[in-house]
Amino acid sequence: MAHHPADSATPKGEPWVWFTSLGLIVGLVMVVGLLGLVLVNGFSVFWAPQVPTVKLADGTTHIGQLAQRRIRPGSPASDPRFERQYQVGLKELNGNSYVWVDEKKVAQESFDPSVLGLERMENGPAFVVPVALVDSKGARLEAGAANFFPALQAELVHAAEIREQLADINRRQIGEVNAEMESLRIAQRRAEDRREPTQAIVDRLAKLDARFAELKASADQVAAGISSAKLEARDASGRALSLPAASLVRAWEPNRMTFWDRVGLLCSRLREFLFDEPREANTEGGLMPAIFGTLVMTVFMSLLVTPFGVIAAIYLREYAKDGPILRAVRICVNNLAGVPSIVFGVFGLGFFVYVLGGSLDRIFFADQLKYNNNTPVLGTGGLLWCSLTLALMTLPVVIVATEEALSAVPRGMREASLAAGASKWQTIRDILLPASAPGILTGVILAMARGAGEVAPLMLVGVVKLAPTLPIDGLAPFLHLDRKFMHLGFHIFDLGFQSPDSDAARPMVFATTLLLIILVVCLNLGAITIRNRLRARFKGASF
Amino acid sequence: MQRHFHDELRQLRDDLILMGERSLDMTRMVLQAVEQGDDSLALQVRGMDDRVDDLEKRVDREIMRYLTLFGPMGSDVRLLLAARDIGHDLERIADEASVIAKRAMVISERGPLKDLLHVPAEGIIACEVLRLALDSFIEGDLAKARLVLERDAEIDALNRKNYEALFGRSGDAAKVSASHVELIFISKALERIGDHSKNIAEQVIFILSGEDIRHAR
Amino acid sequence: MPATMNPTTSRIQVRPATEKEGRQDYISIRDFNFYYGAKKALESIKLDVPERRVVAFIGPSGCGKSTLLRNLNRMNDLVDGIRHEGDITINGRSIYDPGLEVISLRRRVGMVFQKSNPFPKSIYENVVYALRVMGVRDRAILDEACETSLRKAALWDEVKDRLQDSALGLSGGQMQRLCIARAIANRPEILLMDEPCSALDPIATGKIEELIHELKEQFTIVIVTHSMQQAARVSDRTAFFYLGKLIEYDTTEKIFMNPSQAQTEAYISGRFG
Repeated sequence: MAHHPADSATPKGEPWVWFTSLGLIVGLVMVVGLLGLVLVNGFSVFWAPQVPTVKLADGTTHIGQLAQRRIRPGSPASDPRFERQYQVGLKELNGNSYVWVDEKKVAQESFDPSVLGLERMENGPAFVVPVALVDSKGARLEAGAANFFPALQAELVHAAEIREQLADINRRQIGEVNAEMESLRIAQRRAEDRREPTQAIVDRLAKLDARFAELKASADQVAAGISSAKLEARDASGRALSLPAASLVRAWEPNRMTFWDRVGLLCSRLREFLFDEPREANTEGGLMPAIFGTLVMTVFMSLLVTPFGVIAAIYLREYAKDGPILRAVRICVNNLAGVPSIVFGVFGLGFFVYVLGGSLDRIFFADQLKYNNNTPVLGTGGLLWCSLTLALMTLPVVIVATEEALSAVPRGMREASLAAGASKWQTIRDILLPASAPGILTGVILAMARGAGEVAPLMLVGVVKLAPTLPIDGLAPFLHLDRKFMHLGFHIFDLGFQSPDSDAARPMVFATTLLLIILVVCLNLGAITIRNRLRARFKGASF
Repeated sequence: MQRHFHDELRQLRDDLILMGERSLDMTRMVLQAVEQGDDSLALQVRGMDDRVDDLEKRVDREIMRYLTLFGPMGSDVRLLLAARDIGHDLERIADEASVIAKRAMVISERGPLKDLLHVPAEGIIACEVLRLALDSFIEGDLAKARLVLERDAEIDALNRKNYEALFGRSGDAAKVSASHVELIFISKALERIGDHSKNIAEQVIFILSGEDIRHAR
Repeated sequence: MPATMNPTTSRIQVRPATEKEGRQDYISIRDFNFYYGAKKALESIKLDVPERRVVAFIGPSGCGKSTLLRNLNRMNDLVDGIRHEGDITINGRSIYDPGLEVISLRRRVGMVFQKSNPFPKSIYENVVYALRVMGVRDRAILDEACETSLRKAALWDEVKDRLQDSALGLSGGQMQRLCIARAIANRPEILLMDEPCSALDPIATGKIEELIHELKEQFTIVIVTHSMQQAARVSDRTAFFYLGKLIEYDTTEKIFMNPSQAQTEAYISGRFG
């Protein structure tokens, strides 16, 4: 029987379909892998596992939380030897809060139910065996007592309340007084310089000084209320410790907790992570300033880039005459999207900060410069310059998207509007822009996604490791465009590569990464929701 | 949905009906002229023929206009095609009436004829059949149209009787007067009117049912 | 005898005579040449459109009929590299008069396009768009114009309960009638229609054609159509174009029943090319 070529099972034209799908699969695997890694590692930071007491063959003992397990470097591949890393805490005693343990040397591993996990204000966590709680009057409550752990918790709550009160006085109230004194001193220097009467200023300053002293006194009074209770405990090797209860942030009993206790602890830690300020060189505490900074910067950048991009695109698409110049401009705009972001950072620093900011300072804040030791206001990195730099960087994205969206509006709609007697501008305003809004928003989404994750240029124009204040607060004018701020992306870089204790920082790197991803996803989802709403208005259209 | 050009179709129908009524009037009047030997009536009938001819032309123009401009379909096409034939038949009926009028004048020239044989009866039936055919068109009545087909035979029978009465009675052709020959032509014309009525009825059946029953028997 | 027996006047001219015969040269195209760049799209067109009549432009694709139509409201101005010679006047005034703003011309000359092109707005906003761009803000005037136009476009009863709904939810025929309502909302004098039914089903087409028949009581209508049947059904006069030239222009009856040019005859009888 003659074999007909068409009988072949694989159609001749389609033999490489599997290959193209392979590309997608590789991409998907990479993305899912990355997200999974970030997700697992990010969440494990907040999870409290059981804490073993590990006795080694040589008699040393460790109490710690298992951090990772790996093949010992240099061990033969045929007979791999594993080692474990435990987070044992008590950095001030051990010198390092992590220890590596050869798995072969582990003689005994047990779970002592009395082990306490502690988070401290300083020196990181600690895992100890409690002995007793000694209150200020010297009364001892032995660790075996039924009410020992609740009593400890009560001390912690009390300490936390006092810390909060102190923070309110020190940071907010004294901060306000300081800000006013600062501006008064400048005013005073200026007045003296111009030989104007300074009596009113001096009076006010005196009043503020009094208020300052008052606040200081009340702070001291509050501080006096700090409990002098101490937790007596032993570390793994039996050394006696005496930990002031006021220095403890959180305590838990890792080997006694139920699953729901652990979930509760996770939530408590998450809350701190999201809403509190960082401690311990950013390796502990929360990320609220960074989240807030990232959010404000991204939104502000979008607000800047959208009108600029849309207006530029309208001119390019609707008004500019087609020709070599227009084509050259288009190529330039497209190439702008490919310029490395650090270049934008350098430009932002050189142009926005020094030239623009410097000029603005000389024009509007001359007094401040003169009487405040040449401290620049706008002539230094800040939220405004960061947003502007990123807006410049993402401008091509918005321009290109807007141009595409405008040209995608059906010709008939444009003609209908003109035929109805509308002018060109009316047509653009009433018909083209609303109709292309979804496309424009897609551009803004892309711009936001790129801007929110960008770090390199921001390091040059205003992002800092630790900002004392937020860019938006209760002090007039509420939005402080000149302030430096914290940023999640930079925070990751700082934690991962600039931290003195990289082992301690690593979990936070993952958690922060997770947060940054979630933040970007949320921003995008918000924009996508708006876009879909707009798009719904086009439903049923059959152009 | 009613389209504006449907009005024109109604107009066409009205024109056809008008034509029909004219032809019927002419037939009735010419019969009266024959019976009463009324020359002036006969003359009047001959004058009416032109009007029917004009109507036929107008109907034809309307049909053509409708066909070219409005792209008719279905029953509208049948109506237009049948209208052409109906118009033609009606014009022929008017022609026959006119012929009868001419014969009637010839007869009255030679002196009134006492014996009109079965012609008056034939005329009455011819008018009835034509009326029936027109009604079937106006009312769209299939039953009436079929009745026309049956009753046409009555006219044929009377026509034959007229022949037999004239030639059978004497057996002698010489005794047949010239006036009687005219009468035979009149009878024949009435028979033709009957045939045209039958044709109209057939067209009405075509309009109503789409069935072409011409030359069926 | 039935009432219909009364002899009536000749009814060949079936169109009911309007109260007053309008200008015969309401739109007057005089020796009009039109170029796209170097290409001559229209050559010495001479044509008068009478007031409150429907004139149909027919001809094969690329014959220039749409180009001529789009010159009547200067929609061709949007195209680069166009040029014209000769003149077009509307009610005696040249549309190329430098003192006449193209926007005010377009407000007097409404246009309906081949594809229905409602804006992604509510039905209401679509209809009153022309008024809005003229700067009308008075709600009462807008409401009234909306209802009147929709009634004239025979759409009011279908949409009166959902004026604030999106226009894009309408059916194809409704959308096209909405576009007609939009085109007549600011009471233009002339209505241009560029193949208004080419994307519609026969029922919707029939409705639009009936609408054209009614609108000619008030508007002078120029319609470009590929369908000769449509031209025959709706127009009073028909112009046949071929290769940028006006081959024949006469009453619709004459063109379709007995054209004087062999090319017209060939085209309308389908023996073309």
